This record gives sequence, C-alpha cells and structure tokens, in this order.
Amino acid sequence: MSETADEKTVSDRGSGNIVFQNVSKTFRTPQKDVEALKDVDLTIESGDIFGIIGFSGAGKSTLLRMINALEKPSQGKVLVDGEDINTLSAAALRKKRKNIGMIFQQFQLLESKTVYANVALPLKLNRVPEEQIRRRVEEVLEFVELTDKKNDYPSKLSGGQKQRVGIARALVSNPSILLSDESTSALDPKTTNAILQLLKRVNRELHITIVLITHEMHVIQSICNRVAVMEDGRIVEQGSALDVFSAPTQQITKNFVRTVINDSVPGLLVEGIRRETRNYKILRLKFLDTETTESVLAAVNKKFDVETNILFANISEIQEKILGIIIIQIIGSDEEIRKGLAYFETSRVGWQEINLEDNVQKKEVIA
Amino acid sequence: MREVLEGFLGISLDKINASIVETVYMVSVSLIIATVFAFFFAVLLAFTRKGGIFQNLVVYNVLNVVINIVRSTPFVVLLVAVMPLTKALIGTRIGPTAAIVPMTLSSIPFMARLMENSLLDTGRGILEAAQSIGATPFQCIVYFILPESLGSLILSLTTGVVGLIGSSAMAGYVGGGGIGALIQNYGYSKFNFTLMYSLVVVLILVTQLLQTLGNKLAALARKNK
Ligand SMILES: Nc1ncnc2c1ncn2[C@@H]1O[C@H](COP(=O)(O)OP(=O)(O)OP(=O)(O)O)[C@@H](O)[C@H]1O
Ligand SMILES: [Mg+2]
Repeated sequence: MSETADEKTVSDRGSGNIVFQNVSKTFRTPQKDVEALKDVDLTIESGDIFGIIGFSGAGKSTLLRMINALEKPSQGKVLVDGEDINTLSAAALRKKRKNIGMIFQQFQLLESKTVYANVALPLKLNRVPEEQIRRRVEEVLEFVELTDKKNDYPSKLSGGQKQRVGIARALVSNPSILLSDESTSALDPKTTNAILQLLKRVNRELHITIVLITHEMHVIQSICNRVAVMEDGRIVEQGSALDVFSAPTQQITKNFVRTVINDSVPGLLVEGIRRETRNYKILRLKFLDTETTESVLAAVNKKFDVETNILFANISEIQEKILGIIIIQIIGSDEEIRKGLAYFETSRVGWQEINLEDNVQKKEVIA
Repeated sequence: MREVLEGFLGISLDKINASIVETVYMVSVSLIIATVFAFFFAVLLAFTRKGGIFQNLVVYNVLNVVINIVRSTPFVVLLVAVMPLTKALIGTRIGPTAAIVPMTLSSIPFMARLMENSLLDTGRGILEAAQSIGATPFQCIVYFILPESLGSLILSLTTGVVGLIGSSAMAGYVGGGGIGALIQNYGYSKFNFTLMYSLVVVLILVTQLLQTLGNKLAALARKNK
C-alpha cells in the first residue's frame, strides 16, 4: 500500500530538527568563485520558527536550500533528523523531501492547473488513491481557508491567496519541516501579516518546524522564536528572538532591530541633555514585564538621591512577551547612580550605559 | 457559379481542388513527422544542457551543432541536397510525397529550437518546486514542465505550420505539387496573374486563420482568458 499523508507514523515523519555542521559553499563560475557560505554552524530545534535575516546576497537562500538538498555544501554536513541529507540515494532523498515542504516568494504554482489540482499534485505523484487525495486536499484547503477557491486557476487569485495555495501544497504530504524563502516579500503589509499568522498556526497546530528567510525584521518579530543574522556568508549573531531584540551585539543586528524598535533619542531632547551641568549617565533599560516599569523608576527616584528623565520608550511584543526598551537620563552623584543601578538589577531590569551620540535621531536630509 | 469562378481564374476548379488536397497532404504529413522529431529533440536540448535535469553535455553539444547546421542551410539548397535521400526513401524525386522529405527535414530543427525555448521558458522556479516535493526527473517533465509550457508549445507548432505552408509552396516550384506548383505552372508561366494573386490571397488567409487558431488554443491552454 502506498504511503499517504495520514498513514505516516510519527517516526516516519521525523521530528523536524536540522543541524548544519561547519558548512561552506563556493559557487564556481567562469568569472570568479563566490563564497556564498562560510563555516556555518547552526542548530534548528524541532518546533522552532527559525528566522534567518540578512541583506541581499548574504547567502540566506543558499543556506535554506541546503536543508532539502537543492544545493549541496562544498564542505561540511547538513543533518535533517540526524540523517546526512547529502549521503542519501536519489530515491531516499525524494522520500525525505516529501517530509520537507517549501514555499517561495513567487509562489511557483502551476498556472495551468486549478487550486485543487495544484495542491493534489504531490499526492498524485505518490499514487495515493483518488478518494484519499480528495479528503486530504479538502482538509488542507480548509486549513488555509481557501475551500471556496478550489476550482479557480491561480491567475485569478491574489498574491496572498496564491501563497495560501503554496502553503497548502507544501502541507499536503504532512511534512515535519516547512522552508519559506521570502514567502511574504511579494505581498502588501496586511497580506503579509495574514500569511505570517497562518505560518504560526502551521507551527502550533500541526507541529511543523519552520525555517524562514527574510530581509525584514518585522517578519522575525511577528513569529520567530529564534533568529540568526547573516552577513557575507556567515552567521554573525544568533539566539532567541527576545535576546536578539533586547540586546543585539553586532552592528548589523542593531540596525535590523532598529527598523522595528527605533530606540533613538529625538534631537531636541539631546540639546537639553547637553546643557545639563550636573553629573549624569544615559541608560538603556530593558523590561520584560512592563507592569513593573513605572514602579521601578519611581522607586529609584524615591530611594536614592537621583532624578530620572525618560528620553525614549518603546513597548513591543516578541515571542508573546512584552519587551520594553526605555532610555533614561539619570542625574545624581556617581555613588547614588551606582546604588540605582544595583536596584535595577535586583528588580530584574536590564541596564546598559550608552553613548548618547550613537542614539541620536539623525536629522533627515532632504535631497 | 462554378463557371463564373473558372472563367475568372482561367483554370478548372478540379485542378485547384486537387492542388489544395496535395498541399494539405504535404503540410500535414510533414507536420506530424516533424513535430514528433522536433519535440523529441527539444526535450533533449532543454534537459541535457548545462544545469538541466538530465545534464549530458555530449548529447547536447552534438545535437546543438547538427541542428544549427541544418537550420542554416537555405531550403532551396536542402531541397536539392536531399534528393538522393528522397529517392532512396520514396523511390522518386518529384511529386507531393517526395516533397515531404525536405519539408520535414527543414522543419525539424526549426521547430525543435522553438519548442526548446518553450520548454526553457518554464522557469527554474517551477522545477525547484517540483524537486522540493520529491518529484522524479520524469515527473518533473510530465507533470510540471509540459503542462506549463503547453500554450507556448502550441504557438511553436503554429509557427511550424506556417513555415511548412511556405516551404510547401517552394517545394511545389521544383516539382513538388500542391498550390505552389499551380502558382508556378498555371499562374506565373502562363501570365495568368488573376490566378496567381488569388492563390496568394488564399495562402495569406489560410495562414492568418491558422495563426488565430493557434493563438486561441494557446490562450486556452494557458488558462488566461
Ligand atoms: N547558482 C549560483 N551560481 C553562482 N553564484 C551563486 C549561485 N547562487 C547564489 N550565488 C551567489 O551566492 C551568494 C549568496 O546568494 P543567495 O541567493 O544565497 O543570497 P540571499 O541572501 O538569498 O540573497 P537575496 O536576499 O537576494 O535572495 C550571492 O553572491 C549569489 O550571487
Ligand atoms: Mg534569496
């Protein structure tokens, strides 16, 4: 009996964990060699929504395409559920790929086939009986909320609907991993959010590990629990989304974070701060629980001989947690400030002294 | 009616009918044979090239060169050059059946190139989608590339037919029969310009009709009405 979506056992399906071991990739072209990936070590855990962000040409697609062996490493290993994907026979690789769905920026649907036929195709190639195909396709179309479009051709659909078809096609064979190559980059912001929410449901309700690449930090902020930042073929920073958003270490990461949490101090305020003659420090505070924000600041003012001014405040939601970033000016003697900092620590508020000049809003240059 | 037409054209309608049947015969038989070979070669060209699903540079390069050679040989030269082959295959060098040999031969590389491009037009993206769902190379071709390039293939075929009508007229000129022969033997040589231009107009109309039909079918296959 042929292997079908609903007959897959748990062990067949795999848990969806991916390991890159020391992976490098060099593309040899007649003009020159391009080192697209350099010594990449990366672990993506089962259940993650793992975001990979970087500028164009950083090597994101190359990295992603190694997970289903559309691209082979020049060096190193890619393990999917513990199996080295590049040592599999052609037939075993095809079987493995049925476990790894993929969606694309340009959707890559068959324009000559209806929505139903597009989604049914992976099962048809597997010679699943017609009746089973029908049931499964209807199930996934319902999941992506496209039941009413099943007899339409893709040319009649909006971008968001096309991507839903893409997602349905990727899900139909019940994979454990979903790869997304800039799947929202061709969509408007509202549609982008709808697709991201759908991906979140794919992850939560169907227990599918998602690896997505993007150049928009907003995408990472909305749905990823872990993130890796790529620059020039390397992973320069990685960690939980919360950590990376609250305390980015690399300049490129700081710039990406700033596209969603603009923690720069308005120029007008800076003038006032520069005129301050008393002793002061500028601090960047990180609150993970905003209910305490005000009380902690109030307490510092009351308990110690310091004065605090809020220069900037931002509250955002990441990984379903509230992240508050507040930049304050704290005025007082070094001794009193030190006591205040100790108090922040005992109140579990992260702090970091910053150089104001790095955080001034650049005056817009009108060209 | 019949007498009026025959008087106008200066030739019996039976002769015209016979020549039309001959042309249809030459074009359709050549078309069928050429399509089969051209499609086969187009698939080979598109998939054995560098980066293709069945990459095989030896096959690709040999085919590529042969096709270029045949394609750059003018049809008139080909007509004469293949005569020994025609004689061997058909048993004679003249007549409609004999004309099918050079017509088919010149049409194969022409249509193979057009079809190759149709197949290549179906971008790498769709192929990757196919590979990502675990399709075999054969399934990639049958379930992804062919249906997606069908519209474009129909257009290539249409261009092929139009080309064949042209070469059938030329073949007629050197003893191949059909409308071409009629234009030469009863129109041009006998200074019957009414007949000549009437037949030319008919050829133009038929060509237009076929092209329109091809466009319609292609649009239908592409589902973009
Ligand atoms: N098949 C190939 N042949 C040669 N060079 C390639 C090939 N594929 C990718 N590259 C090069 O490798 C580098 C990384 O490409 P990659 O597509 O992974 O970048 P990316 O981060 O996905 O960029 P983008 O955001 O533009 O999609 C680039 O310099 C690219 O030109
Ligand atoms: Mg890319």
